[in-house]
Amino acid sequence: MSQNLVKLLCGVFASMMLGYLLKPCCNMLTHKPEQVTEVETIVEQTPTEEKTETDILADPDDTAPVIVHTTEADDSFEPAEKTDKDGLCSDEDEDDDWTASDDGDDWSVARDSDSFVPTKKEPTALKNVREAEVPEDPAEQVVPPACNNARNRALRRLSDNLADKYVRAEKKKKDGIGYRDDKYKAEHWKRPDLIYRELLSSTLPPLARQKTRWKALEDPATQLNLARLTLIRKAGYETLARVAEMKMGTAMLVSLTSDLDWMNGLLFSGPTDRIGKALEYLAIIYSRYTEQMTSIHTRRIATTTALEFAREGWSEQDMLARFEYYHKSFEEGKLNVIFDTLKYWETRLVTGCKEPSGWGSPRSLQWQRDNVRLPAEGYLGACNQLVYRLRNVAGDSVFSQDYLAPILKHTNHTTAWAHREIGGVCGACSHYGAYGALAAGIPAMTMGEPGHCAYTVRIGNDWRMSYSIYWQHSMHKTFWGNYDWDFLILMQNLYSDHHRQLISDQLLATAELLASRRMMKSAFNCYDAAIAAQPLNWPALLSYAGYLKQKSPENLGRWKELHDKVVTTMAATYHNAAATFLCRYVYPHLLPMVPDRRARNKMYDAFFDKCATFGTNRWDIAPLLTAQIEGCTNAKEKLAYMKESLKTLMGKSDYAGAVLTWGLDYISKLPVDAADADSAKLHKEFSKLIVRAMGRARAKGKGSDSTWPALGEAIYAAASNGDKLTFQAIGKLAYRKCRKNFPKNKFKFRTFPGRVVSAKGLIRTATTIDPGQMSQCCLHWAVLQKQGGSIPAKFEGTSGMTIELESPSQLNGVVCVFNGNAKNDRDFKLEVSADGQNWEPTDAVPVIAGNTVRVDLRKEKPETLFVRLLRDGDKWESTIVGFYVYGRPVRASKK
Amino acid sequence: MKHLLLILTVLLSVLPLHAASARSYDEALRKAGGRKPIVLFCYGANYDKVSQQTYESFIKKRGIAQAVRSVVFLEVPVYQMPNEKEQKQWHKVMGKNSLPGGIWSYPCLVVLDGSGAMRGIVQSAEEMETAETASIALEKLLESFDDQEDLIKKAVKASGNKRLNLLSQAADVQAIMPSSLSGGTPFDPITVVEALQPMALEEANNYIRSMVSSGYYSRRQRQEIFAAYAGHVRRNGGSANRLRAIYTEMRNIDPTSIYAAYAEGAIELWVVPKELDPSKDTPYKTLAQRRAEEEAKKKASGGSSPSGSSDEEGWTPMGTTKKSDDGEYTPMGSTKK
Repeated sequence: MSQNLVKLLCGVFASMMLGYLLKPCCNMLTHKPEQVTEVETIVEQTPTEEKTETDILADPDDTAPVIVHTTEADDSFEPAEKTDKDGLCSDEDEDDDWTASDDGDDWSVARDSDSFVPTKKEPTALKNVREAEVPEDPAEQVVPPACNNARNRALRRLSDNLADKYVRAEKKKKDGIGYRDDKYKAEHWKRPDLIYRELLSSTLPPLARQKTRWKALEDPATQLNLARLTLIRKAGYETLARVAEMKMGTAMLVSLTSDLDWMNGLLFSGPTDRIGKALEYLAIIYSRYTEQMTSIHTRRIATTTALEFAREGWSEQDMLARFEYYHKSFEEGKLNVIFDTLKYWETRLVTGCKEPSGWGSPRSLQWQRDNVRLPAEGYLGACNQLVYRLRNVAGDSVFSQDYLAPILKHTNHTTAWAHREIGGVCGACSHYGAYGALAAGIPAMTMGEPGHCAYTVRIGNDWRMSYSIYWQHSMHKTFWGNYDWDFLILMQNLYSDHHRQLISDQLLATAELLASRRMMKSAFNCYDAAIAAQPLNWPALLSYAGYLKQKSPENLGRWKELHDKVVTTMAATYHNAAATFLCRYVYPHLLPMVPDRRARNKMYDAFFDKCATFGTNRWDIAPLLTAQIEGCTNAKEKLAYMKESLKTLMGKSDYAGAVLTWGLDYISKLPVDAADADSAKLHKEFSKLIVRAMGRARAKGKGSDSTWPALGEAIYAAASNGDKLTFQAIGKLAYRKCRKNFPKNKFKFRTFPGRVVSAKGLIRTATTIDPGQMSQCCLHWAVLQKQGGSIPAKFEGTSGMTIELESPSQLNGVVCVFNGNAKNDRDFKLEVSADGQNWEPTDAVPVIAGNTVRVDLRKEKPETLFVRLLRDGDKWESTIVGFYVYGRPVRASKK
Repeated sequence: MKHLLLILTVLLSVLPLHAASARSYDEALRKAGGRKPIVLFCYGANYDKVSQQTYESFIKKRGIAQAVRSVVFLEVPVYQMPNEKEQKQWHKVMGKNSLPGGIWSYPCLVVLDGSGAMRGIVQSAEEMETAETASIALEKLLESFDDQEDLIKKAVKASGNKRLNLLSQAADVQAIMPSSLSGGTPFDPITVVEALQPMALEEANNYIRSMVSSGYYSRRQRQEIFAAYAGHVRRNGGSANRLRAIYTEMRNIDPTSIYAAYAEGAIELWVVPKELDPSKDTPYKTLAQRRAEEEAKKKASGGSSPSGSSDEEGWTPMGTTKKSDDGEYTPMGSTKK
């Protein structure tokens, strides 16, 4: 009784307490954030900025630019509308005359509409520096000699000292607020040309001189002035005047240009393409959130959103919606704590996430923020929250609109929610995982892989992949237009070393400023300093290479020095980035100046010495090797080069397969003219080289581990190139060297009369081969052999199993053996072709019995070179362990 | 009297928060003794301000104390990139165990059975918004868990069709079925889509009817079967009336489910002409709103379950099951020719 009384009292008391305690909490928690609604634009849409007229034209006889001087006689500052003639250089200017060197990639390949690999654009072209019409100082019109090691070390020491000072200044900051100086008021920003002139005369001279440059940069006032100069130079007078005329435009400009940290965040945190539009976006945000813009976090969110939306060319409405999402979420404490401490550059990866009206819409982000709240590591597995369904429960394909349509109203057109209810395939699963992290404020991005979509999330400073099945990743977000994984890691490590990167970017800005003022010698010195301060600074390397190409394209010393710098610093870790830089921007100038084959090979060896492994990720070495072999002037040199490179790279386990594949591809593309004995001989010699190189692969002892995967890659390349003889040669070689890797099956099935005419043929699969399967590709060859092998097959439409026979044959029958019982709910069919292009069905009905499919062709006896087995209906992925075509070669039968 | 109240107040304030709080996962299992359910309160301990607020309101202010009074309760702090100290803390609570799969968001309340298998979870933003909403959702889930346990116990004792029927009923309950029983019949809705592909509409109808009337399938599974059938009819030029009837029947199986929302969306998209769209006049109700209405109706009518064959909008449901030509039920995944 007493126990019951106590229980009762406890219950009453607990309820009272609960109600009392919960009331304020409930009130607080039931307060819902405002829905993001359509936003009004506060200013009329500004007209699209027209490209300013370039003052450098390409010489039709040469790719080198010719500087066309404008007619202005002095260095007077023109009104804003004449910005195009005052020598300001804007990132928006694209000079199409600067053609990038060909890196061997074929950009014109037809694109799969369902591909997740981003459309490849032309590689970044080197930009020229536009010069102002200022009098030339003869003392400045010389290219200083290339930096030697001692000079590089000295520059490095100076930048290290400066970095230490930046660190100390950072520590002295109160509440994270850095140097501020509002010398230039609203009225000044109505005439940015006057500010520019004043700053040029006061700030540039100490920065131009080597002796005073480093000391000058110690002063935050100089840093701020340099940033102001850079802003005016990049945006142009016209744009700044337009921004100043916007509502709260001048207030924003004053506020922005008075704050060193904000300016650094805007200018030195990644690309500043279309910075004029970014400033307009920033002014729009500023006019709506003026009070909140005193917070360093709001500034960071606003600036990064403006920069990314301007760069990507997304709408103002979407930009405001994205800003509001992150701003409100941050203010309400709904983001992961990681977001609180992100720097500008990494915030850009979050606030600038793609698909502003789909996965990246505020609605979808908000839903994921509230319903997929996980620790950062948890987002790596978040893709599994979706059911993988190519067709939904109603049988509608994921590629049709009907897949999600019925549920969209219920889910309020929230992409993430709709997919969670219905399912999706790799694209939806990866977007769900990546955008879950992005919605919480954690850097992440999706990435395309061949026929697949995966994603990556940053955990700490470490980018980790998820849902990945292949080594080729094309990142869906990139700062520099390079999509490979290596560039993501390069970007991460460049910007993580914040102070060095800042110094390097400041020196780069100075160099470009000096170059635009025709101070060539100082500009070169400043470029040297920028690259010494941070040799990984990709934009600095590009800018320097562009200036060198413009001013001194035949300066062997400087090109060689640039090559060596990239090899000694970047190539040590970022093989792919270094190779890309060398192929595209250095080799086209340097190689013609190095005629000696041995000297060139020495350069190549220096690079390969750095490549013990693949580095940050496996990469495609073929463009580099092609660029190098194309640097050879005759066939003899090419043969020697191939011999050298095969010798060097076959000894590196990671690269052995890749170099063999490249060699086979290269040979397959060589023109072979039957009438030309030399070309046929050359082809034969190249083939011999490859076969000899493969023959050197060890079956036992050191290096034997790499033999099997290397031969696997090579045989896959041979099959892809349709090179039957090489396919057979590699298959036999692999069987000799790695016999233990082959199965010893003893199949039991009824054969057909005649010999097996497929044993010396070529087999192709329609399935994408992932890295795990790639190493097993020699088993594809074994599928045609008596003991059997293994090959993944995809049966869907005209995809199936295709065999090219040894020679045209008259067929009696075909037997296909699967590793398990064959699916019998749909019929198989066999087609034959004389050319591999035009196919004809056979009348024989394939008979399914357990794990075999038999096609009796004894009545038809078709004469053919190609055979393919297909299956009706839906996709079916299977493994084939044996495939045997019985018959008689046509010539033999005629005899 | 005053003294008594004072003593009671002091006593209450020092009483443990929950009837059986555990400090570690293993202790929770021991205390559950294979019978009592366990509730885990999992929250982001070092990265999430929402979790901090939730912890404050649910635990420190005892917001969910009432809801977890009859279970074994365990707080599980989840860490992001844990340091050594945090790793130790995690091991102290979880030992060598890991959290069950199916947790999509923190903070959340996970219901485990006495053996440690996950049987339900409260984790949506809607449910976890306040201690009050979470308590309501948790109490409902625990009730469902009890109901499901009863049905499973009966099913274990039964055999044949009766057993399958009981298991299907258990699967209809909101709680998650134990993986060893997996909701009656193993089922992949895509196999229905594939099986229907070669069939004519009438044959497909017979096929579906025999499946649905078999009693082997849970409500959700039956809705999925209807979805596959409706898709088949739509792609093969079935009439709007037929389509409407199928979707209505699909919705009515469980009007508060996600597939009911799917069916309504499908009717609007593929059946109702745009100018006659009823949704333009009636505001759209979310599933939560519908569930609340359904609950209210249930209470008013004394707890009867929603009808599976109601035809409130006058749409004619499909006719009675016809036997297929050979009069036999065709198993899933096989093709009748």
